[in-house]
Amino acid sequence: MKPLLEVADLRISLPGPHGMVPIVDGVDFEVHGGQIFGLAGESGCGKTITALSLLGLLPAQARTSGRAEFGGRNLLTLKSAELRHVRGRQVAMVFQDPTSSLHPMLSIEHQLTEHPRVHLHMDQKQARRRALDLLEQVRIPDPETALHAYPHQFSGGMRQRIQIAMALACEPSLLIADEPTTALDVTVQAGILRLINGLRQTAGLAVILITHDLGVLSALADTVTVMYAGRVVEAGSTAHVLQRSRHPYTRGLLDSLPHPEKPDQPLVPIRGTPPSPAERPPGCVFHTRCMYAVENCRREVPPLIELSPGRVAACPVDPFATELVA
Amino acid sequence: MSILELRDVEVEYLRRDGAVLRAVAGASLRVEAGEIVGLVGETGCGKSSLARAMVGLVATSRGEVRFESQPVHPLGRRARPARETRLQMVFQNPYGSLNPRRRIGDQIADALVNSGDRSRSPRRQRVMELLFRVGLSPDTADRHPHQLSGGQRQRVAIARALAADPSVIVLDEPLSALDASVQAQVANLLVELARDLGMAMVLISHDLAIVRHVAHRTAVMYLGLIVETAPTDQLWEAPLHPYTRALIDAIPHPDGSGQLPEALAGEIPDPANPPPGCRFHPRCPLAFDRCRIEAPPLMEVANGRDVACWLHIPSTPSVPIGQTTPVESVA
Amino acid sequence: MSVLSLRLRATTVAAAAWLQPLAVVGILFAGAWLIVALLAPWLSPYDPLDQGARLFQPPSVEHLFGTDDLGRDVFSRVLWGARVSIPLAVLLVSLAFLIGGTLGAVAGYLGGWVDELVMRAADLVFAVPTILLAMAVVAALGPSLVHAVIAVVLVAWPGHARVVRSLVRTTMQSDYVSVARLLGASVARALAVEVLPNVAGPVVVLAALDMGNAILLLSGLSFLGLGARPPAAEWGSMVSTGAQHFESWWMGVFPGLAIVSVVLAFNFLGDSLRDALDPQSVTGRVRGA
Repeated sequence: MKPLLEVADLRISLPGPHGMVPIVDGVDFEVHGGQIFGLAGESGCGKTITALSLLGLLPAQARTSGRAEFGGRNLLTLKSAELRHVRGRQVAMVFQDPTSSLHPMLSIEHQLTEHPRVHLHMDQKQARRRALDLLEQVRIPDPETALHAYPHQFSGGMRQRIQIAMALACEPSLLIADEPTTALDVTVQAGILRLINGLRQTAGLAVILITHDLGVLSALADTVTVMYAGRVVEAGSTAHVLQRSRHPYTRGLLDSLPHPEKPDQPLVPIRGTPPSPAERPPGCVFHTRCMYAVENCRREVPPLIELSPGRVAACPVDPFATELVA
Repeated sequence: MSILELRDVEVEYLRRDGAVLRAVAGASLRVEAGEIVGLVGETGCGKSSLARAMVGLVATSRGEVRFESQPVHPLGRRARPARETRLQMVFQNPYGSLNPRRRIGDQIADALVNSGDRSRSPRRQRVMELLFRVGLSPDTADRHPHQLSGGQRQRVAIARALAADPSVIVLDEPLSALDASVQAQVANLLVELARDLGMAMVLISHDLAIVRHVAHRTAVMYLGLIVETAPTDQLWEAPLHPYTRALIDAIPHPDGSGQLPEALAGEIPDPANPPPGCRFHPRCPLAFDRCRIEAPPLMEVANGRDVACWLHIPSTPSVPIGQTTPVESVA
Repeated sequence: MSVLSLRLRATTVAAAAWLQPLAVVGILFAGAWLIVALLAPWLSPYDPLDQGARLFQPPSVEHLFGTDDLGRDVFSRVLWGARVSIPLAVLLVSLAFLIGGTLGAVAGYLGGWVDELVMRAADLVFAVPTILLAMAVVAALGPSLVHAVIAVVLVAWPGHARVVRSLVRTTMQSDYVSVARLLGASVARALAVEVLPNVAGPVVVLAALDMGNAILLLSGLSFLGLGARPPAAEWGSMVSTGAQHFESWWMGVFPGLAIVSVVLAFNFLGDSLRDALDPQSVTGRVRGA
């Protein structure tokens, strides 16, 4: 089946003190309709910039190359007028901090009806009814009263739901969620995760879920792509990537996290720290922190090896075996 | 005698609109020498206010804090009594807890300077020892904070606290601002320090999962009250309080199983306007009549296990945790 | 770490800022004027009060800036003017900082009614247009350079008070001050060791920028006849006389240019100091996510 979004060889650079610095260094992935695609990685890996590039939200000085095919067009080369059609209408985005993405001085009704009126050419009455539907869909109690309220009157979790409602206003086919629950308490997070899962099931919404939290990905994502220092190191179905990780970084990340289901397993940190974009090591970007690194890892950038359809890893070493595989 | 003891501590703030906010509404906790106690809770539970009250940064409006059997004095204009500098704190934000304009080595040496009994070169020696102890290279001493990463800064903050030879360190969300792979490093360091130096710690966090790996005992806070305390593994295997149960069930597992965590109904109420009776009852799936009327006290129900829940407290009340008995004497 | 704020950093912030062309210009000019102020007696070809030459002579080799309505050499008077304006401006800014800074620090530290009192007093001063207030003070005390200095200190102290107060307040609430207190520092030590270094930078910037303001005000008051009294060589009063003799343009233009160049120099200096000391300026770090 043809994917909803196909990203190929995405490269993004930003200006640094000594010229352009590559932040995203050749990333490929596919998102299928009705599926939740997880983009995992720590800070500095470039996952958020990847998402911003899809909606043309990068600063003017950024240089982008590659393809991001959506609806037969390359999102990366669209002009701003065309992008405006896509943004909010076909592809929507929710951000980590709901406080800064909701306008503090406009009522909820105003913010929820804005997009339907502009993109779907609804009048105020129709848009208002749509807003009420949306609030119900995201389970805001007492939607009628909520419409008249302002963002500061809601808790963080509620604001995140409102942000999701706003994103859904024009019935997009793809939702990009950048760390949607990172700023929330764990019990509130559970509610949002269930909401997103429900939306996938009832509305057939495809989601790009960007997060560093492997637990969140495990709960929601169908497929996961793990990024490290601007490159894809591993991708595949969530179960495979988390249960049979092939890349030492994924393995290392999992070992450094507490697993509530395996309480006696000690926390084994990955030595060193993630490199800043300007200080990425040559060859395999992870080799300076990798337990399995050999001489070749310093010299060559390991290619993405296809282990099975849809399952790739950028490392010739199989952490579950003792010898090199490729 | 516990090395740190909180009895019915209340911390109040005056809100802008004049309402009195009881961030902590009566918390009791004991910390023994050499043990790591985790204090977990979500937004609005008052754990940060409690942390500050523990070390004297903020005054308690009721109840008392005792450190090494002596009451803890809230900070005033004078310098803190030397005895109390053995009670230290590490803050959440690694970017705000170091002075941007001072060298790392100077900041670590502060406790040594204040205690006055070391001259320059033994001081430098000690700073080097401390840097080594927290896993930082010696040349870190000559750097400035902006040259270090978040994880490194937290280690400096820990070294700074260690310089005062503390017997208890209170850490307020020390891991939250760090990357996942760095969190494990610092968490392991804390366990090591407690073990090697026989130091007690109070680790405050919203991340129940990582506290499990670090703390010997865990206390759970909700809306200004401690609702359960237990040895960590017992808390996880058999939580008594419904809120503890909900917290545990809400944690997503990174096991690739696709299992969705359980959500908790309702919202955290306004701390200035808590529900009557048991503060958790509006959201509790097991609430019954008594819960709506009477607030359950925190009581010891088994060895080392305290809980504030009518489901577990026997009808005939024994003495609740925290209330002073006539036996308490001049320590 | 905000997703939408992408900042770029050089490893040496200070070096980059200091090498900005405007900064260099500022330092050079300010430095030059300070030297002139010091060495005016040796640099000026004539006595500034000497009325010997022919009146209203345009600029020539003998008289670089021409002569004025009383036959005095304008060049020498401009040089000597620096000896008046610059030391007075330094004195002014120092006094404003001492008074304003102390009041601000006390207000920031003590809070409560002391804070209210100081801030309301500052607001009172801010409410009135600067030059008018200065004029009123001088008019009340009687026109003289000393009274002009007093007047300018009076209008300048609230600016310093506000800056120092807010700096003291924010630094005292920061975690690292709490840490210092927990480690056994008294409030006095915390103020000295933790707060002052963070306050010093912005204060120096303000002082540099204020120098320009002070010179402008002082010259302005003298221009209006409320400051320096004749026959003193002071730029403002020279401009005033020059305005009365428009055809002899050199009488007003050169002192005017002197004022402009000094004020600009200190402004550039202040701006470059601010950029050098501000960690969040144009140079920041590339942080993706």
